[in-house]
Amino acid sequence: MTDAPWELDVIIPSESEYGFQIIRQVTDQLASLAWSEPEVFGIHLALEEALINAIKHGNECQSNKTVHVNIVLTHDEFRGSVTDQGSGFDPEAVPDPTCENNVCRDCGRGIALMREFMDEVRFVGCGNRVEMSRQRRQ
Amino acid sequence: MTDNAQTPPHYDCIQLRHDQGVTIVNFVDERIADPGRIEQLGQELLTLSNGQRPQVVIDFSRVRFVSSLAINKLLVLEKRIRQRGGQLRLAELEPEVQEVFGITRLNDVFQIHEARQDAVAGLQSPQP
Repeated sequence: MTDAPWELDVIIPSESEYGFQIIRQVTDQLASLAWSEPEVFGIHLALEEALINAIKHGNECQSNKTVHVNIVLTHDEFRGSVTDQGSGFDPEAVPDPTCENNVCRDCGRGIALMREFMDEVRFVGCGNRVEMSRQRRQ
Repeated sequence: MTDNAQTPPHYDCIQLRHDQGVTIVNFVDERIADPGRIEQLGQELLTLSNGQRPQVVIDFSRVRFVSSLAINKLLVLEKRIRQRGGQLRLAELEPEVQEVFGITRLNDVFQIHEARQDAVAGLQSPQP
């Protein structure tokens, strides 16, 4: 069996360009492992939402704060965690963006997309760390 | 020499053309994700809500990826256009992009057409 995991463990500044570099590396790896385009799209979207949440909302783009990213990828599974240095949040308090009264509000949509495209999404600690995973389906 | 005409806005993120009263918008980028670029995109999109009863079709045919930040800008535009008595329609969404709108129930907010021609024709028809 040659399915050794590909792992990325990095600490990045709170700037979106560093997040995009991570996304590019992950999507390149997914493609090299022949994950399907819809699955790459879903992982791309969930990871990007997690990174943007960490950089923009968690660390509030402050240059003295960093984001810790850990990705483990195999032929059959994606696992990732994104940890910021913000004060966290209560995911239960985030409005459900799919409720009729919230559809046009601009909060909670990223979390909803992460939950949709991942098999599991967990906010741990004070909410400043998100862990997510997805099994290959195609 | 005097020139009373306003300087037309400069667009980096979108391309515009006009067809019988309908403004048709194409995105420049395949990936609408970079927060800084999305801020600029939001400003450019808002210029489309100027004037009375703006009729706008956004063609997504070039777009392969859209983040929630970008969707928020579309929501702001939709509201502004509606407040001015106009209409916004979306067209030519890739299946994955369409799925994003479906998951977030935004296909209840936006009128989405498969074909750009249908979206444009819908706005050129007399409104009830």
